[in-house]
Amino acid sequence: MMAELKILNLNDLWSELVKVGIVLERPAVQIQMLSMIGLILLAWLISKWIWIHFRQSFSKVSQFEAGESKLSWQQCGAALVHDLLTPTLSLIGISLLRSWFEQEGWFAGYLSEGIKLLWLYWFYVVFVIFLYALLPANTVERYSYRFFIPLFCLFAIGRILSWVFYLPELSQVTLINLFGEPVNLKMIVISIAGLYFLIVGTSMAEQFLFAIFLGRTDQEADALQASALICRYFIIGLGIVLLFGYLNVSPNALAAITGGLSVGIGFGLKEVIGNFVSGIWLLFEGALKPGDVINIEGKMSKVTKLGIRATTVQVIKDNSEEIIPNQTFFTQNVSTFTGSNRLVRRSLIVGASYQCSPEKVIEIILQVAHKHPKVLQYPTPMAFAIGFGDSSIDFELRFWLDDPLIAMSVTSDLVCEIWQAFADNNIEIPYPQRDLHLRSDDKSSPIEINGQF
Amino acid sequence: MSNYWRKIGLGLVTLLLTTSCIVQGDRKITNQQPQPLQGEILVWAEMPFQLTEAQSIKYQKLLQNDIEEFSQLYPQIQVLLEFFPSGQSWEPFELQVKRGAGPDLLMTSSTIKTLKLIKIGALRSLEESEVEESRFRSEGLKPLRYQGKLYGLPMSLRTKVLCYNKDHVKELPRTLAELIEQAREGYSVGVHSGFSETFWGIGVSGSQLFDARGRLILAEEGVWAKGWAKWMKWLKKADNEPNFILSKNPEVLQQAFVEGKITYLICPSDWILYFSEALGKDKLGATLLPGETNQPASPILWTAILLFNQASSPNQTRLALKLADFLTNVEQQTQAEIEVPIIPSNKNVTLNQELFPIRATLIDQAQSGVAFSLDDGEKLTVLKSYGDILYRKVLAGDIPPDEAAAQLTQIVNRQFEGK
Repeated sequence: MMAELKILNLNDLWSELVKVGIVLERPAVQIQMLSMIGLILLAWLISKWIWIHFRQSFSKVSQFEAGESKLSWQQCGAALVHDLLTPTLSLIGISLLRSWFEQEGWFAGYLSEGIKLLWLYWFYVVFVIFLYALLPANTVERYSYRFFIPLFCLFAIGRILSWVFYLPELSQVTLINLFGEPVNLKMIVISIAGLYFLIVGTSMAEQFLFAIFLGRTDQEADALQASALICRYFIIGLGIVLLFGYLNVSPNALAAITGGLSVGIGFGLKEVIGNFVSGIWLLFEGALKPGDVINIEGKMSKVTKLGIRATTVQVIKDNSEEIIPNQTFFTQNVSTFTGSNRLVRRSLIVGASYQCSPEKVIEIILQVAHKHPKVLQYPTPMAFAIGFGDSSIDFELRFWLDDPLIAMSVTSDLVCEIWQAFADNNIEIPYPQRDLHLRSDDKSSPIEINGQF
Repeated sequence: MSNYWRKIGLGLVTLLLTTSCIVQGDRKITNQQPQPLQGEILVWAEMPFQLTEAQSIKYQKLLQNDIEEFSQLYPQIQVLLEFFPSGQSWEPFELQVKRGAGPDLLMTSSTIKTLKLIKIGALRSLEESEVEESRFRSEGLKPLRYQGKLYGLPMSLRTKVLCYNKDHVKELPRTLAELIEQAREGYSVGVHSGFSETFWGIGVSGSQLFDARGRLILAEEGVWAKGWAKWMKWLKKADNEPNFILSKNPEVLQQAFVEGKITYLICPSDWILYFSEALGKDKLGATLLPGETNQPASPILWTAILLFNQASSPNQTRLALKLADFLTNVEQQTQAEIEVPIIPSNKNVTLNQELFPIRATLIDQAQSGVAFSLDDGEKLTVLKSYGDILYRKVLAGDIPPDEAAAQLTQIVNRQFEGK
C-alpha cells in the first residue's frame, strides 16, 4: 500500500488477484454481493412486469422513437417509469437490507456503495430524460452514446473496481518506462479517457451552445460558428496542456517525443501539417467563416464547414460539395462576397427606343428597382443612360443586395418587371435594326431594301 | 407466464436461496475435524511513527523476513503483506474494513484506529480458548482490552529511555536535579517537546492519571494535576538553562545527537536502532529516565498490536491466529529483540543483560511505564489534544502551570461527564 515505484509484473497482478480472492472468500462479503445482485434482478423482474401493464394502459405515450422531435412531457413521464423503476426498486430493497444488516451489526459497506452507485444511476437517468424533453431525441441519443454513457460507465467501472482493488495503489503500477520516465496505469487511463471526453465534450458543448444562440441571433450566426470553432480548439489545446500538467508529463520526455516525431512528420505528413497550420491560421485570421460566399477556382461556392484540415464548400452551380484543403486558400486567389460585409452590387443593362424620353426611362427603371423587396434601399439603386446604341439608347441599373446567392433570381425579377413597366408605358425595347443598301453595277439606279433583323 | 420468465424466476430463487445459506457473523472456528492449514491471508502493517527512510526499510525487511520464515514453516499458507505509513489518511482503509474487506491481520500501534475499528464492529474479540494470555506481559494486554473483551494480541512494546554517547559521559544522572546540574556543567540535554512526549516526567511527582472509577483526577482534589503542574514548572525552569534543548522536531534532535551536539537525549526505543548504527554499538548507551528517589519516571508504553478482522472467514481467522502465534512465540520475539531494540510482549523471552544492556534498560524502564486500556482511549485523545495546547501556553508563559492543570482536568472531565 505504500506508494512506491514498481514495474508491472505477473507477481503484482497475481497478488492483486489473490487479494480479491481473499476478500471474496469472506461470508460477510459474499452475502452482501449476492443479496445485492439478487435484489437488483428481482427489481428488474418486477419493473418488467409493471412496464408491461403500464404499456397496455398507456400505449400512446409508451412509444419512443429517436427522431427530430423532442419527447412530449407525457412521453418523458413514461420514460421515467421505464428507466427508473429498476433502480428505484433496487434502492428501496438494498436500503432496507442495509438497515437490517446494520441493526444486526453485520458488515454493510458494499451495500452502502451499491446504494451510492444506484443513486448516481438514478440521477443520470433523470438528467438524460430531462435532455429528451429539451432537445431532439436523435441529438440526445447521439450525445448519450458518445459522451454520457461512456462517462457513466467509466465512473461506475472505477467504483466497482475500487470495491475489490485498492485503486490508488493499482493506478501507481508502472507499465513502461518512457525516456526514463515512468508511465503508470493512472496516466494511461486519464490521458486516453481525458482526451476522449475533452474532444467529444467540447464538440458537444459547441453544438449545444450554437443551437441555443443560433435561435436568438439571426445576424452573425456564421461568425458565431467560427468563434465557437476557435473556442473549441482553444479549449482542446488548453485541456491537453492541463492534462499533461496534471499527469506530470516530463517536459524532457515530451521534447524528445515531439523532437523525434517532428522529423518524420516533416517528411511524411508535410501536406497534412500544412493544411492543419493553414486551418488554424484561417480560424484565427477570420478570413473565412462558415456561410461565406466565395469564388474559388472559378466556381461560386458557399462555405459550409470550416475544419482544421479542410474546408467544405457547396458549389452554387450544381449544389455539389467540395472538400478543399486549407492550404489552397493560401496558395490561390480567392474572392469573397462576404468578407467585410455581405453587400453585393449587381447591374442590369436595358435598351429603350430612341423615341422615348431618357429621363422617363430612368424614372421607370428606378421605380421598378425600388419596388423589389430584395433590392436594398440603401445604398440606393441608381440608373444611368450609358450610351447610344445601334438601335436603342442603353441604360444601366445598378442595385445592391445583401445576399450574393439571390443575385440571379433578383436580376431575373427585375428584367421581367422592367419589361412589364416598359410595356405599360409604351416604351419600346427596339430590335437591332440594319439598313442595307444594295448597289447594282449601274450606279444610276440603286436598289434600296429596308429590312429588320 | 412464458418459459423465458419462468427460467429467470427460477434462477433468481436459486440465487436467493444460495445467499440465505451463507451465515454472516459465524465466528466459531469449528474444531470437529482439524483441517490442514492452508489458504491465503492479507496482513496490513502500519509503519511505526517518526521513522527515517532507512529505518522504515529496515522495519519492512524484518517483518518480511518473519513472514518468509512463517511461509517456510507453513508452505500451504500464503501471506500477502502490505505496509501503510502511520501518517497516511486512515479513511480509505476504514472504508474497506467497513465493507468486510481489509486485512485478516492488522498490525498497528494506534489506539484511535483500534477504537474506531471496535466501534464499527470490524474487530474480532478473542475467546479465552483461542489465546494463551499467560504468555504475554500484562501491560501489553492492557491496551487491547475494551469493555472486558480482548481485541487482539500484543506484538511488542515501546517506551522511552535516556540515550547518551558513552564517549562524552562520565557519570549518569539518576534524578532530574542531577540532569539539570550536568546541563549546567556543559552536558547538553535534548528533550522531545510536547504533552505526550514529556509525559514521562509526570510520574516523578508520584501522580496517577485516573482514579479507581476511570475519571481523570480533578485539580482541586487530585495529585495528578498537581503533579503535571509541578512537572511543567520544572520543564519551564529547565528550558531556561543554556544547555537544555526542548524541541518539537525529532529529526533535529536525532541529528544533533548523532553529531555529538547533544550528550543526553530522551529517546523513544524506535530511535535506538538508528543511533546504534550512526554512532556505533559501543558508543551508544541507554539508561533509565531520571526520576526522584522512589519515584521513577513514567513513560507511556506504546504497544504494537495484532488485530483480527471480524469479516474474515473461519479459515482466514485460523490462519491469522496461527501467524500471530508465530510472531509472538519465544523464538521469534527473541530474534526480533536482537534485531531491533523492543520490549517483547512475550514475557518468557529472556536475554543476557551483559550482552544486551540497552534491551535490558528498556525492559527495566517498562516496569515503571504507564499503559492505558482502550477504555481510556477516548479520554486520552481529548487529554492529548487539549494538553498540547495548554503545554505550549505554559511554556510560552501565557498561563501559569497550576491554572493550566486545572483547566485541563476541567475540560476533560466536562467532556466525559455522565459517560
